[in-house]
Amino acid sequence: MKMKSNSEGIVMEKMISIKNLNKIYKAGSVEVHALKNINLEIDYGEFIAIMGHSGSGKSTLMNILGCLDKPTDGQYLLDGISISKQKPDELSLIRNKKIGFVFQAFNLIPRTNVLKNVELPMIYAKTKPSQRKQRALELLEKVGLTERIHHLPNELSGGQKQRVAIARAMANNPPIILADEPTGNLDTQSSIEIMELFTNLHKEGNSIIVVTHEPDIAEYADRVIVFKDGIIIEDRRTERGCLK
Amino acid sequence: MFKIIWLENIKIAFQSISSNKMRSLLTMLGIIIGISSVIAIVSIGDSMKGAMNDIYKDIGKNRAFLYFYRMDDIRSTDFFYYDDLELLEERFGDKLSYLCPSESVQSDVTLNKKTIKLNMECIDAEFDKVQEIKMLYGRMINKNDIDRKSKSVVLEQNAAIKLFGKENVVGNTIRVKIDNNLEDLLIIGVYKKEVSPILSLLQGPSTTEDSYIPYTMPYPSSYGFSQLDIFINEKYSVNSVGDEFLSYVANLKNRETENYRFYTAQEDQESADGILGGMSVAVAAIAAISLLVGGIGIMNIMLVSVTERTREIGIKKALGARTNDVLFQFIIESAALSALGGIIGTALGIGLVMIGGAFISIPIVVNPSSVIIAVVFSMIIGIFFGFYPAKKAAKADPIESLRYE
Repeated sequence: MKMKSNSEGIVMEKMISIKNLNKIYKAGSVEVHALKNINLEIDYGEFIAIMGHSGSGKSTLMNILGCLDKPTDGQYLLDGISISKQKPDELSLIRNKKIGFVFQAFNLIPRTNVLKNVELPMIYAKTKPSQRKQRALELLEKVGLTERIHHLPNELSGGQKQRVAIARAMANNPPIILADEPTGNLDTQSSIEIMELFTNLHKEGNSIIVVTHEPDIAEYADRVIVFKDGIIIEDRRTERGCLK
Repeated sequence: MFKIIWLENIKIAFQSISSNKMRSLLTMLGIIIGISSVIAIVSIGDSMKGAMNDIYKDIGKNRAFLYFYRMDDIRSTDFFYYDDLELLEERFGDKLSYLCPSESVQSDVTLNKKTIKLNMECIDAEFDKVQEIKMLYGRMINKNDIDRKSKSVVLEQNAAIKLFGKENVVGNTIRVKIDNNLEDLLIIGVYKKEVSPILSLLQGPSTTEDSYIPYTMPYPSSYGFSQLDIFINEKYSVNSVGDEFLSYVANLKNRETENYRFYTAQEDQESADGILGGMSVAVAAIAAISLLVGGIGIMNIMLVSVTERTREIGIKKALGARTNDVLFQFIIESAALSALGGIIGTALGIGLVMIGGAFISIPIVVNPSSVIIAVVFSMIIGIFFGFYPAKKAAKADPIESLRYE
C-alpha cells in the first residue's frame, strides 16, 4: 500500500478517490444526468464489481475511471493524479501507465499476432524491444497461452482471446485492471476460467474493477457497488470479501 | 519531447498493405502508371539525346560546312579555288584543325561480274586526325597522295568484301569512272566504318559503299569548289570562329554574310535537344496529372481504411496511443503505399524503355537522379494525400471509436 506523509502524520492514499462527481451529457437540447454526485473510494488491491442495468450510469463511470472520458464536475483522483484538465495526449499517457483495459468484445488488434498484441501497450510506453518481448512472454505464460503466441486473434477461442486481453492489460503493470463485462461474450466454462484468472491476479496483489450485470460474476469480487439512475444504491462486501 | 515510434509504425504499415494486397495494388495503380510514364518519358528523352549525341559524334562535333546560301546570281568568283584554300588556311591558322573542299564522286565498280555503287569522299591529308577512322589494313591518305594527286583509294571493309570476297585487298586496283574518264585506283588501305545504331536506323539499309580518295585527284587545278568541310580546333569556340570565317569569306568574295551559310553540327544538335527537352516537359506535365489522380486514389482508400479501422484506433488510444502515434501510423502507411507504387512504377518504366530500346537497338540512358526523384516524389504524394485521413483518425474520440461496429 502506498503511504503519503504530511504534517498530521501518515495518511493512507486511496487508489481511486471520487468526490461529488457529476457527468452530464448534452444531446442537442436534452441533458442527460448520467452520474449524480458520486462519492467513491477504492483502495489498492481491492477486487470490485460494479453492477447495474443498462442506463444506470455504470458504463459512464467505467469510462471516467478509465480516463477515456472526463467528469463534468467533481474530483477524481487516480493514483494521486487529479483527472480533470488533462489534454487528450496526457490522458493517453495516464491510460497507458495506470490502467489495463479488458473489454467485453476482447478488442484485440486484428491481423496482429498474440505476442504483438500484448506488446502494444509497451510500444506506446517506449519499452525496449527485448524487454518488451520478455515481459509479454512472461504474461502469456501466466495466462496459459505460451503455445499460442504466434497465432492471430481470429484463430483463438473467446476464452483465449480474453486471456490475451488480460495479459495485454497487465503489460505496463498498471495499478488498476478495468474489465468491462469481461465474460459478456463467453460461455459458462470460459467465464469461470476468466473469473478465476482475475481472482488469481487479485491474490497476487493486483487491483481489479469488473463491470458486470451478472450477479454470479459479481460474487467473485470482494466488494460490490450497485448503480441505478446515476447514483450508488448499494456498496457491500461479498461473502468472499467478508471472509478476508 | 515527442518521439515517433518509427520502426513499429513502418512494420504496421507494411502489414496493413500486405494484408490487403489486391486493394493496395489497385490503390497504387494510379501512382504506378504516373511514375512509370514519367520515368519512361524522361529516359526516352535522355536516350534520344544520347543517340543524337552519337549521330553528331559520327558527323564530328566541331565540324562545320560552308556553302552558298540565298544566292540568286552565282558568279564564278563565288567558288573556292586552291588559292582561296591556301589563303584561308594561312588566315585562320590553328583555329582550324582541318579544311578541305567538301566533294564526293560516285561511280559503279565492277569486278568479277560483281557491281557495286561506290561513293568516294574527297578528303585532305590528316582527315584521320580530326575524325576517328578505324584502319584494318594499309594506310590512310597522306600529304604525299594529295601533292602527287595520286590515284589511290581507301576502301571501306564492306566494299572490299563485296568486290574481292575478302578484307585485305591492299595493293589491288579498281576501275572507276571519274568525270567520264575510266581511272584505275590503287587500294592503299581498308577501314571499317562504325555507325551508331540510331544513325543506321535513320538512314536505312545503304545501297552504296564508302571510300576515301585524295581531294586533289579528280579535279583539275583550276576547279572551283562550292562547299567547304571544316573542323574547328577544339580550343576555340565553334560559333565565334564560324562568325569570323563567314565574314572573312563574304569579304573575300565581295558578298554579304547572308550569301553563305556556316552550318555546324552543334547548332543542329542544340535545336534537336531543345525540341526533345520541350517534348519531355510537355509529356511529363501530362503524366503529372496521373500522379495527382493517383494521389487522390490514395486519399480515398486511406479514408476507407481509417473508417474500417475505427475500432482499432479506439483500442490503440485506450491502450495509450497518442494523437501523433495514430497520425504517423496512417501517414507512414500512406507514404509507404505510394512509395511502393513509385518503386514499382520506376521498375515498370525502366523495363518498358529497355524493351523498346532493345527493339530499335538504342543504348538506354536511365538517369539515377530521376529514379530517386520519382520515388521521393511519390512518397511526398503519399504524405500529402494521406495527411487528411490520418488527421481524421488521430482526432477520433476513443469512446466513440470503441463503440464503432
